[in-house]
Amino acid sequence: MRWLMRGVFVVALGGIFHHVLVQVDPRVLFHGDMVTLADGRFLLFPMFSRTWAFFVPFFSRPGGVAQWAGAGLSQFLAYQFVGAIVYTAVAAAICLTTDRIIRQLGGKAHSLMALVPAILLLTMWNYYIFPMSDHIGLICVLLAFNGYLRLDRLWMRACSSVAGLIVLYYVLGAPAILLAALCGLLELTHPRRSRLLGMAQLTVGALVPYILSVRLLGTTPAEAYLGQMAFNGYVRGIEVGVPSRTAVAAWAGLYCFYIAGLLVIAAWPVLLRTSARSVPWLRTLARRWRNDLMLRVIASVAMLLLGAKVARDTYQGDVGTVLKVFAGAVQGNWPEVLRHAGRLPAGLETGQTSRYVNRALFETGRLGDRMFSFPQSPEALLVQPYVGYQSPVEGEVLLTLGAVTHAEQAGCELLEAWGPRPAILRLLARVFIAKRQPEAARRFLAVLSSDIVQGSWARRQLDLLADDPQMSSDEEMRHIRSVMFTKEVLQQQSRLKLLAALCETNRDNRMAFEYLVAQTMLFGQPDMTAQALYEGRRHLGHTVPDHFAEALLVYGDLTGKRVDLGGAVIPIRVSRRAAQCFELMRDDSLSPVAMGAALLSRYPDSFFCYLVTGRSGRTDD
Amino acid sequence: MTRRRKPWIALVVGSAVVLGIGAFMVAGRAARVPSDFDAVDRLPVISPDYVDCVIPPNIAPLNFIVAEQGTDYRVRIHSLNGDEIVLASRSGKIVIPQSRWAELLKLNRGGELAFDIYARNADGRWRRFRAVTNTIAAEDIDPYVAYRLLGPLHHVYVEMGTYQRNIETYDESPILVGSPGSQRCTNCHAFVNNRPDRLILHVRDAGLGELSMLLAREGRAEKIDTRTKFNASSAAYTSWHPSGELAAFSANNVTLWHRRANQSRVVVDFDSDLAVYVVASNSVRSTMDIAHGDYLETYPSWSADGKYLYFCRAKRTWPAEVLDSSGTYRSYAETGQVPPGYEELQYDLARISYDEQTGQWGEMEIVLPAKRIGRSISAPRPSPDGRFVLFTADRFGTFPIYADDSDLYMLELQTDRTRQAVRPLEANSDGADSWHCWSSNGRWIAFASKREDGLLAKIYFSYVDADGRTCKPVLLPQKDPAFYDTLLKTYNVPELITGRVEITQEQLLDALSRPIRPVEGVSGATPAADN
Repeated sequence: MRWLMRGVFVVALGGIFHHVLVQVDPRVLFHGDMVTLADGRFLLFPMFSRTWAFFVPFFSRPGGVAQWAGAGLSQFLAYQFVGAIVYTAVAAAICLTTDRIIRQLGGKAHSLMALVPAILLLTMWNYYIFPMSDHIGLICVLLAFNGYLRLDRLWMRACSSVAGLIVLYYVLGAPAILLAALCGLLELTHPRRSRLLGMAQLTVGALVPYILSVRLLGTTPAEAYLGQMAFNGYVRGIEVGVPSRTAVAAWAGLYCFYIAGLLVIAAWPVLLRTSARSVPWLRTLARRWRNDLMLRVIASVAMLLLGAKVARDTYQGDVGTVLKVFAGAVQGNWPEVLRHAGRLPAGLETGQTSRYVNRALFETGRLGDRMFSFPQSPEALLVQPYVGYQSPVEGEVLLTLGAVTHAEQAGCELLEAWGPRPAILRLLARVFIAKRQPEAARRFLAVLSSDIVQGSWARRQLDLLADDPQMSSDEEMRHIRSVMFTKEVLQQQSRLKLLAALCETNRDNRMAFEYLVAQTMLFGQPDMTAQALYEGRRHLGHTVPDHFAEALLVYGDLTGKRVDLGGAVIPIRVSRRAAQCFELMRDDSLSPVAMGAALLSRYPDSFFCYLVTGRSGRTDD
Repeated sequence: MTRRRKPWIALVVGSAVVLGIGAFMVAGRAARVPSDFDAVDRLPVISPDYVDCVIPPNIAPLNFIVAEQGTDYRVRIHSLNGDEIVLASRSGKIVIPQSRWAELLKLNRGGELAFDIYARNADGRWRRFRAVTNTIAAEDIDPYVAYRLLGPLHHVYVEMGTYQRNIETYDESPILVGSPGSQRCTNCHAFVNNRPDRLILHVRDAGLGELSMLLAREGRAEKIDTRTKFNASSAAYTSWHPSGELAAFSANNVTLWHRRANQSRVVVDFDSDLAVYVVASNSVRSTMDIAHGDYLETYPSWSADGKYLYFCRAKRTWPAEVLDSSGTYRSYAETGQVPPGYEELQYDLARISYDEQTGQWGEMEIVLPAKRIGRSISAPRPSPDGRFVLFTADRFGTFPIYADDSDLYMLELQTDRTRQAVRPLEANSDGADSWHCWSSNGRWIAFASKREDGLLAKIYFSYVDADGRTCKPVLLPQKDPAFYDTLLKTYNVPELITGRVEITQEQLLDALSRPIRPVEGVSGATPAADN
């Protein structure tokens, strides 16, 4: 029946590959840099340098080597297809090694159980958790245990388990403790093994982290016993993922599975013997399981169906959508951002998400027409200067606007908070190229040039800088330099003052103009919107964008004044809709709450609705 | 059994032979410079720029990279006395053996040190460049330097720290370093007469909401709250009196602001006064002349004989309080407005005499008015022999590390004030040069300079001759000559010390975890609120 199991494995791994490739999409973990989710958790992706200097610090702590390898392999998530192969290879390695262990323990009949880890892994991955170093740790432990099972002599088992544990603890960190647990339990439960050795192995397993990590390297006990395991690694920023209770349970289940599975397999013959009278069907079932092909086929299909159901039910589509918006923004793929933004679940839109959506709207020429089709807030366009930046993408917005020193601040603060992440280094390099400080730019590019994924970009920039230190022929730099501030002013700036000053610096700065108009609208200041539109009327074509026109109509309604926009007209459909909204807003029979509700239900994608309710776009209530 | 072991024995023996031959070839290759070469009549480009410098005789090897095209390199380091050092490199990275370097420098104090550099072209021909020469000073530099190492910070700080480095080797060790989550900012540090046994370190712990002064002496450390009724702000810039019994400090109310166009950061000092912390009585004393309500006084620094306290002083051009939009009187710091005239504010160099025995202050006098050099004066540091004052000058304010135009100046003290010579140092650069200090023998200065990239400062040492003239500075060497190329940290506040700081980080952390000790008394000054 070996062919059956092989077939089941192939189908299961094929399914995992397809699910990861199509649904999860490994790229969003790589590119979704600095993602802050609604509950404040974040994702980030570290760089991986090929240099010796990058490798050496990993040696200073137990598990560092696995972390280094994990960080390196995780870089493949940058590519959709290769990333999916990495995921599948992890699942294959764990399942096949598990199968081998089960067979060695004499549980051929239990081979189907080797697919249980795959289901638990899928659950974790569906939460966008991919702790590669933890997976490497588990694979190495299973391989080591597999080797241990082949050892017959007591002294060989004793020596190899103790030496293996010490070496593996140093290489893998806390996951190596599982090896001590498995060896110890095996010795304790197996009739032909040594209980004394089992006790000794469990004791050594408990002591090695304390001696090696706490006493010799001065770490805390928590770090020693959990240090390199999945969720601690996540906090350290080496791993990627969004932990949740279910995912944590799946991860814990993965480790418990081996301990529980070992105990069950060890106890199985005894269980069959002792339950022969009280539960006679159990023995019958076991016999049929060994001999009945159909029963096995049915069980295999059921297991595959269970896996498919888990894959479908536990997939965090909402998280995936948020990550895809972020990944699109990081890659500058604005149509992709808007495509996924339309599917954003209510409640998961953060200020950061909105800032990316608004940038995508601007880049696709639709900010003035569609911004209120999405949830908006005063924080949805720019981060308040000096308050705290969350993502290099926000620094990119400032750089493109021409607020170069603000972008520098964003980059430097992110560098301090997160260390040398590729996106931060890119931002800072471009900031200093724009500032005509090529030597400073070279520092950041030199660090980035050793990264295995983004290093080629940095090396190209270094070559360009060598040829022309000012990079004066670079189109992007020419644009930034044309819009950046030229006059030094020392002041604490608000967003409106910053944008107005940028417009003043270069009247052709269309992004600053649109952002200024949009920001005045988000602050609910139609008079300032009218002023900004008047001053930037050269950017308007024949018609005023819908939402900007709505703000002008509100201004006209409040003040009775018209703004001369130099020939740009307000679309008739906007005037009609405005008339309907004003009628609704003047309806004395409606309470403010009822009026807000009516606007939300009838005109959710309008400035009128945002102005009255502070909300816009699709809502759930 | 014997037969099975044979292949292993052969493998081990074979490997040993191969390794031996390899080692012999490497050693043989390193021992020679080419005899047949084309002479190139120019200096080679090397990084860091260790050319025409005056170097301390006790400095660690100046490892460097030959930044010339080539497939192979040879370097011959030689002087009048002692054995020459010949090195080979395929990458151009020249790493000099420490003991042979130290021996060569020791035998040639006051002499010249030459680097003959050869590079091989792709066609196999060797080129020899003009010899790079440096001068070995006769006088040692203090063997340790303590400094802050931090990112190009704005408001967020995570892993900044104070470190010490053995200048004679490459050993660096932490004095006090923050960790992710600690939210601890280690500020300026000060030693008594360059000695490492008595240390003041200011720590801002955002986690605890504390600003404290760590005082380490006789192997113990304690955390002191220097705020009093007189000074609402904690101690910032500190200078130990040579006796080690008191320390002058400034209490500054500063905020980091930003500019728009190029130089992004500016530190605005809204208000500052000076005071003296007396160790024995755990008390603070001051006088109106250094804590005047209408003046900003900062950067205290004792003369080597302890008779004068030098400091910077400017008349405040804005009122202490201003009426805000809500009709309340508030300080400029609270309103978030730039004080009027701040970007024209220039500080004079002043001093006041002090009698340590009686605790009596003398007359305050202006030593060098800012208008004489047209620049604002910061961080005066009198030389150990009392002949000079080294200070930083830039266009305005008192935070030169953020000013591109900040330079180091030397003032020669004379009895006749009008004839005092003041001039910028020869060691200055186009980048910010600041945070300077003297070695204990007065022959060396250390300072932080952003000369290479305008963003990240590095530590340089410059020799000072008997006339107070400085020589081309030498960059703090690193074992890996490419170390600085990828370092995204900036060095500041280098302080030369005569030995290793023995108090451990654990002791300092232990002191930080204990309750803060308030000062017990204030004397000699009117509280700021009454000024």
